[in-house]
Amino acid sequence: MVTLENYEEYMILYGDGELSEEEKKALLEFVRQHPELQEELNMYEATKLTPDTAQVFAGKEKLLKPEGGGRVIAFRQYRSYGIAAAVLLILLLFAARWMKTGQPAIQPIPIAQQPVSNTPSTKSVSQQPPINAPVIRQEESVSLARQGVHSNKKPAVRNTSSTPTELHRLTPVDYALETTVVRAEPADIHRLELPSATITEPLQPEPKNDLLAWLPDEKKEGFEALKENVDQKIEKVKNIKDNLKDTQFALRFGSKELVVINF
Amino acid sequence: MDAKSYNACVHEWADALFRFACKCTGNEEDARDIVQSSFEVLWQKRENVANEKGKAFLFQVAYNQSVDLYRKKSRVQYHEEVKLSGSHQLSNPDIKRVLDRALAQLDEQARALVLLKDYEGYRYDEIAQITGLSDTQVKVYLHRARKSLKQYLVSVEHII
Repeated sequence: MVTLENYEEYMILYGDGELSEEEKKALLEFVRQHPELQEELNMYEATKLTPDTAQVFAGKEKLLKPEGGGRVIAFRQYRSYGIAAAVLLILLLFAARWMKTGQPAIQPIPIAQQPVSNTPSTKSVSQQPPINAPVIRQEESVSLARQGVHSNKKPAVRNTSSTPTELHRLTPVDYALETTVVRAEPADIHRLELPSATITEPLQPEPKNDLLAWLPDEKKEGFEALKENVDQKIEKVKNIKDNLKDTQFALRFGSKELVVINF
Repeated sequence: MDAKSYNACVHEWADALFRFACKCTGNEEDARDIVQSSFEVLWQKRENVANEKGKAFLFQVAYNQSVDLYRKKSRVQYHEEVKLSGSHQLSNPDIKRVLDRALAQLDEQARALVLLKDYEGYRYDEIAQITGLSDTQVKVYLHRARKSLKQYLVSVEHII
């Protein structure tokens, strides 16, 4: 209800167009009953601003954007697929080359096997995994030699009196034993007498069968079984390689063939 | 909102936005920057703005930037001066100039509310959404501004 206390608020709402039809009628009726308020109502209506339509923003064309550019596809969405496809492609290329040449595309770097060096760098070989080999010290080896025991087990450390011919008979097992000695007994390093620089020929490892000969009898069976299993696995791999010949490998993305590899 | 709808907004609302920004900042150069900036924001956020909300979004950005800019500069210089006609009755052009002067006397927030109401015809609740104020705040600030504008008109009439 419009009163002398709240008519001003009604007038403002009227000017702002926020009154309902009933409220409008009530206000206008109230003003008709109080004609001295008509001037005030007119003044409130006069406070309404009107925009100057002649004032325009120059340079609208600079704000416009091209509409016919097609849909923009965010690359981020497909980045992971692209990386995965690239990695797969690289692997396939390496695999294809491996199958053709019979050798891996990346050749392992051959590591020259130094028999036994008399330099301190030999000790770095001790980073190989430790082998449960008996640690035989120099004094023990001497005693073993006196007892004639080292026919099957070569002592890990030999005297400098060892001849080159004896060194030629060293096998990889011997190397492991030697390195184990160096690693396991660091306190004895100063007592080791490494082979002299008179060694002129590199040690030639003996055939595989000879390696088994150095093993104790109770371990021979296990190693022989292992050898057979490894041989079987190698045969299977060779068969797979043969089966892969004359086959085709294709990488498809949707209906499109991206890569086709013939083995 | 796609590029086509965005361009439609440019054609339809750039002028109105410019007039609003001019009155808010009292400076055409600042108003031009605000318009460009507002449309740039709309373009960047177009994926999240519905077509029918484009105008409100533009005025919301322009309102915030105008108020911030005004508070940063802490003053507005209006180059327009009130030049009244010789008659004792205020003619329409005179009333417009007096009102512009009266508008400049308001604080930046009240000025923006009056412009949103009178220039664009927004309802109180729509103004509240654009400005982030409550409906009650909008009503109170607008009523205060109307009384101030009316008082200014009455005082000018008395001077004449």
